[in-house]
Order: sequence, then structure tokens, then C-alpha cells
Amino acid sequence: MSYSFRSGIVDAWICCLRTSGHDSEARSVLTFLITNIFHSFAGLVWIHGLKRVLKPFSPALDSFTLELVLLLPPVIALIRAFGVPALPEHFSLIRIADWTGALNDAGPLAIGFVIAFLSGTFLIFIVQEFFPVWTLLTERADFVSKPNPDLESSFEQIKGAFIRAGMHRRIAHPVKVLCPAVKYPFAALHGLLDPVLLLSEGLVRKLDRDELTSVLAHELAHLHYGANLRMLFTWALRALQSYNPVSLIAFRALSEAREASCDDLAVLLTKNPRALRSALLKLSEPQRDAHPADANSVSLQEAYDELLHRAEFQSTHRRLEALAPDKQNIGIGPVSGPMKAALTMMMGGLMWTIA
Amino acid sequence: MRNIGLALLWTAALGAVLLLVDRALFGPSAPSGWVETERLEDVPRRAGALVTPAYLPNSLRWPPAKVFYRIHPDPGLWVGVVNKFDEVPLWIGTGTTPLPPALQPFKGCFEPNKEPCPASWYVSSVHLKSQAERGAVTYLLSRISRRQTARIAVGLELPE
Repeated sequence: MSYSFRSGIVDAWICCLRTSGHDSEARSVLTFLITNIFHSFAGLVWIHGLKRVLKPFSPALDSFTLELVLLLPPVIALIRAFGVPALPEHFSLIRIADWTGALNDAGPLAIGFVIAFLSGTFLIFIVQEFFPVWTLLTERADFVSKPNPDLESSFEQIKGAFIRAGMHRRIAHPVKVLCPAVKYPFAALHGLLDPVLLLSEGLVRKLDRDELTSVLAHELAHLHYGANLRMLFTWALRALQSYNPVSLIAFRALSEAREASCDDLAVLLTKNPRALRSALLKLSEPQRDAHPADANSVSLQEAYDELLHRAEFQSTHRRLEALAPDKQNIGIGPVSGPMKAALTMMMGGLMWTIA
Repeated sequence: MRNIGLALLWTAALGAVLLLVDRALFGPSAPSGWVETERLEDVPRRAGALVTPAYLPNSLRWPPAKVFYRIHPDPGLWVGVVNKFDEVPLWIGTGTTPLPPALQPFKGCFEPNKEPCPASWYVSSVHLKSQAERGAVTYLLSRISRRQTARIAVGLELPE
């Protein structure tokens, strides 16, 4: 026990007179983590309820609200870090101090379990989200592109449709479409500030003109919704909350919702869901002939492809279901500004009153 | 407008459910500011760890006759130990300003630049090892002999 005896004067009364536990750094970190998880959790539950209340809920609205789940918790933490106080604890919907206290009282086993859970979520982020994005950001796209008149005319046609629909903010500046001489069928937006549309020769050969137009419309829809730069921004928000299991769920759901909203917009402009559906089916076929002939590498590559294929199957299946003839005309397309503002205020208000 | 109304209703409903779950699990909110209670057993854990003196001179009685605790805005606990004349010559406690009402006359003991400490009173502080990592300081506001106060401070221990 350290002991000090000072008669009369206690110099740093205000700054030093802190009581047990609650002001410690460990408690502050725990409070921050639990508050962040509660904010994300409430946001996700709010969206799921909203989907039932506001039927039909367009994929664009879904992606916007999921982005809010990733964005608002760090924003609220930042606002509070700048000194804006939270509600007094007895007015808060959730009294975080009580929850951290209960966790503390539950003993080392419970705390160990929570730490293991959060560390596991962080590891998932590193393995499944950090490394793939890091590889994408650092790899160079070296390929030979061949001129393809069919592709270029389809591209001009759908680009015109976007511009006529008033969605020219990101589409109007010169967007290049390239056709890499690759057998493997793929379509992607490459690059951050000056994205390029890539449609492989294998894909162009596989699709008819309508399907090609639908795929181009889908990729241009990605461009309309912010493309890779926006994806990188939401990924950074996810990275900030990499320990948070709810943000993991929200991020995965957001990736799917983005694809669905691009499908939705593509269908809105092409008026041909059947073509996009058929293109998706062709894209989801396993590619067995696109790899080198070496026996070992083929088996490894095939196993890897099979894994990827299985992982993508569920997502593609949901997209195909959404494009089924009986599910059409439920999409609303892009979300209006006032709607976005109202939803942001509602979700932000809910999170602010939680803690 | 209908959609916004429905969304607002759902937001309020979710907020109400969260509030109910929290209050059902942890009871009603504790009052803000200092609360006086009769017994040490009535002090909630959220007010902070209770410091129990291992040693008290024969002239003082334990348990303390005056107990003040606070949960909001910052946890705190002050106990007043009485002598055989039912006077309080020793206060032991933690907690940021403002002090409990009964300790208001002793404000000067903590802020000597603003007003004087009452005659014969002085304050001492102890930083217990078990509290040190949590940044807590326990104060002894006393008018008994400095030697006795020092001995009480040395004997302060957190309960097991």
C-alpha cells in the first residue's frame, strides 16, 4: 500500500479526486466498445423492422440504411470526442455503465468470452476483408485489351439511357470500357478515382447483346452509386469497427444490397430483367476450362474455384430470385434526398438516445 | 408522409423496447447527486468500492452513522464516523466535487485558496494499492490526532 499524509492542502483536488473504477482506461475502452456494439445492433434491428413496416423496401434504400449502420456509430463517437455530451445516463435508453458493470461482475470467464468473441470478429475481418481488399488495391491490372465493336455500341446505348434518366453525375465524364483478352468470364469496375469498366472477352463471347447490355447497366449502376471509392469508404468504416460483430453482419449485408440495388437500377433502365437473370446464370456457371493444364495446379485451382463458387451461390441465388418475373416492379430505384435525411435523423436520434 | 410516420412509430417502438429491457435488467435509474442512507449495506456497488478501516481508535464507532453515496454524475461515497458524543470527528470518502451537503462546511479543506478549513480540521489522502490501478484516492477529513488518522489510513483496506 502506498501512503501519503498531507495536512491541510490537497493541491489537485478536482483532477485527482476520482473514485473507484469508472474512470479507468480499461473501463473507458470497454464502455466505448459496448456503446459502439449497441449502436450498430440497434441500427441493424431498426432496419429489419423498417423493412417490415415500409414494404416494399427497395435495395437502394437497404444499402443506404446499411451504410448508416456503419457510418453513424463512429460519427457519434467522434462528435462526443469533440466534447458534445451524451444524454444524462438516467435519460439514456441503455445505461452502458450498468452493462459494463454487469460484465465486470460476471467474472473473468465472461470477460474472456467477450474478448475472444471480439478478437474472433477482428480475425475474420483480417482474413476475409482486409487481405482481399489489400490485394485488390496493390495488384496491377496488366492485360491486353482488344477493341470490341459490339461491346462499345452496347455501352454507348446504356450510357445514353443513364444520362437520359438524369443519372449523369458520375456517368457523364468519359468512362472507358475495356475488353481484356481473358477466357474467364468476368465484369468489374477497376480503379478508384478514374474507374474503368472491364468485361472479359470470355464474358462478351458468352452473352448475347441484351445480356451484355444488362451487365453493362449493372456495372454503370455501380458507378452511379459511387463505385469503388464509396466501397473503400465503407470498408474503412468497417475497418474502424473490425472488432464489432454487428458491423460484420451489416457490411456483408451491404455488399449484397449494393449488388441488388445495381440489379434494380439496371432493370429499371433496360426494362429487361430476363436478360440480367440469364446473364447472372451464365456467370454463375463453374469455369473448368479456364486454367492451366498442370495437374496439381488444376486440382488446387479447381478446389479454390469450387469454394468461391459455393460462397457466391447463395448471393447469386438471392439476386436471381429478386429478378424473377413475379418479384418485379417492387424496386423504387434511387432514394430521394429528403428520405435519406429523414432516415439519417431517425437512426442517428435512436443511437444518440441509446447511450 | 405515411412512410415517414410509420418509420417514426417503429423507431419509437424500438426505443421503448430497449428502454424496457434495460430497466427490467438493472432496475430504475439511480438518482443524480448525493443520497443519504442509514446503513452501509444500502450503498449500491455502482457507487464505488467501500473502504473499510482495519483500525479505529476506541473513541470512534463502526459502522458509520452518516453515509452518503452518489452514482451520477460520478460515483462517490463518504462515511462519517461518530464518537461517543454522536459527533463526527472523521469522514472517510471518495468522489469528485461537489461534496455531500453535510461536508459543505469543509470545502475549504480541499480548496484552501478559496476559503479556510474549519479550525482543527485537516485532510489527508491515501492511495490504496488495490485502488491505484483504477486511479482512486481515498480522503480522510479529520479532527482527531494526526497520528491516529495516519494509523487509520494505513489500516484502510478494501473488503475481500
